[in-house]
Amino acid sequence: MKIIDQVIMDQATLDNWTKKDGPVTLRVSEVSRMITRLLEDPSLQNIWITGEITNFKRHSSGHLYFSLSEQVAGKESVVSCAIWKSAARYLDFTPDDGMEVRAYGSISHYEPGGRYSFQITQMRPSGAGERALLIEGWRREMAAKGWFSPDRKRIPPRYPVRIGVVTSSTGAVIHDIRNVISKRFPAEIILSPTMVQGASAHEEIARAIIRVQDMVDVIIVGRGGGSYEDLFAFNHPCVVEAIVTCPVPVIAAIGHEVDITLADLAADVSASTPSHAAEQCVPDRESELDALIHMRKRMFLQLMNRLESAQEDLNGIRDRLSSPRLLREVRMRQEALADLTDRMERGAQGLKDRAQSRLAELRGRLEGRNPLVYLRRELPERKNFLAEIKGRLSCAVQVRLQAERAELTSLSAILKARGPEALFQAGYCMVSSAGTVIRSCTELTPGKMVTIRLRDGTADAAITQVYHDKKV
Amino acid sequence: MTKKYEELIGELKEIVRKMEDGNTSLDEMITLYEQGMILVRQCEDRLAEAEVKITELGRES
Repeated sequence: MKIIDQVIMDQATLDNWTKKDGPVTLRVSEVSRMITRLLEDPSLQNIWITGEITNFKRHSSGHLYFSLSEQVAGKESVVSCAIWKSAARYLDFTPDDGMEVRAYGSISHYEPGGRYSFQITQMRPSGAGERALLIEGWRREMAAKGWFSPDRKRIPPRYPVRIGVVTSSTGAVIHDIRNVISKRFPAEIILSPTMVQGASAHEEIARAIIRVQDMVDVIIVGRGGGSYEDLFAFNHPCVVEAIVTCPVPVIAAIGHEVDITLADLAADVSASTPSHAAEQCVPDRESELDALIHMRKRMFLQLMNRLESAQEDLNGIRDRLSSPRLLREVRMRQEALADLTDRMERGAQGLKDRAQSRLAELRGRLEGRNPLVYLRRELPERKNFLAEIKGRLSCAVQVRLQAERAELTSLSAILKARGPEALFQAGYCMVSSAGTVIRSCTELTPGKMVTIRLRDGTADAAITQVYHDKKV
Repeated sequence: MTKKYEELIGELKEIVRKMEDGNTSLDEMITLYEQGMILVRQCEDRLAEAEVKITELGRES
């Protein structure tokens, strides 16, 4: 009681205290203020603390909340810490679970919450925590084996019939999963119970997975929220290997959204919470019913469309078969036929006419060139002309003949009177040599043979001497 | 053994696909529609089974 500051005590309490001798009854505000005073002790102000960061959370406001923890001889000690946004801005590293750090600040009491925390203004890393190191080592090994490869991820069945759930049989996890699934879709749940934290939890979790894997279509491995240490088993290689080698897809839902374990990384699907895992595991009944309604509508619509088009086909055929329509069609065709015939006839007539006139023209031209016609036309004319010529010719010849004949008679009379006959009769002769009449003595030479023509014959003679009448 | 929901839905989708492919005769269409409606009803019945069956395995087996 000595340390209680009299000043902060209310008068009423003070009165009470002085009156009674028994145990003191204090008001909450008084106690709270006393605790604040106590924690404001200089030995808890502006101090350095070393420890490992656990349960690290970055609030959307920008403030950082986490614990600094330390294990000494199996006993764990934890101090809640906060870094306000204004100080967080000056951190030269990104704090995370498992980091070993040195933090500077003061212990402060938050009266409305009844909690104390270490409010940090500066912090630096002081080597990775042992556990974080271990996990990081495992993570590297697993990554090298390809356990986190996106290629390895399988898509869970859309409509699972049996769902295996590996979790504690008593926790809220199985309760949540059961609730979500029963609301969404009729599936059978097979719970493979296991403890989810503790020294041998990892072995038990792995065995629980293997025990259920051949009975189900998909497995949910789940655990509710817990500290970094609580979730440690889900980083163990033996759990991760059971997930990786599981024959059916595995959905991991470990801790809260911000908690990432190696089991989450290796699982086919990582859900933020067990309820979320259950949602991802089965389709929603309502949306399935909607889809069924939609399909029913589509089928009905198709059937109606088909019926309608069948009806249309039928109407079309009936229409085409109706007698007025047929008659109309026949009449139309007949008219078309008549029209066609007319046109053909007209066309043929025209052709014929043209051919005939051409023929006549040709015939005319041919007639014009026919020699028979020509001859017939020309021949009488020519005949007449010939006859005329002939007449005229023969007449002329006759006249001429008569004249010639008359002249001949007179000439022969003359000839008879004056010709050599008469001369020969009178005793003249004609001398010739080699057919040539000798008319001059110059044509004669002694010895030349000549022929002498007399009245009643000829005689050959030889010239013995030539005597000219005159000297030549 | 009764068919799984997944199988029923698969058959239903196939029927809808056939009905929508445009080469179906009216007779086929009617048959498909009847089959489709049976499947829809079966699926709806299946979804109506509200109770979830839960089995817990023994710890060691």
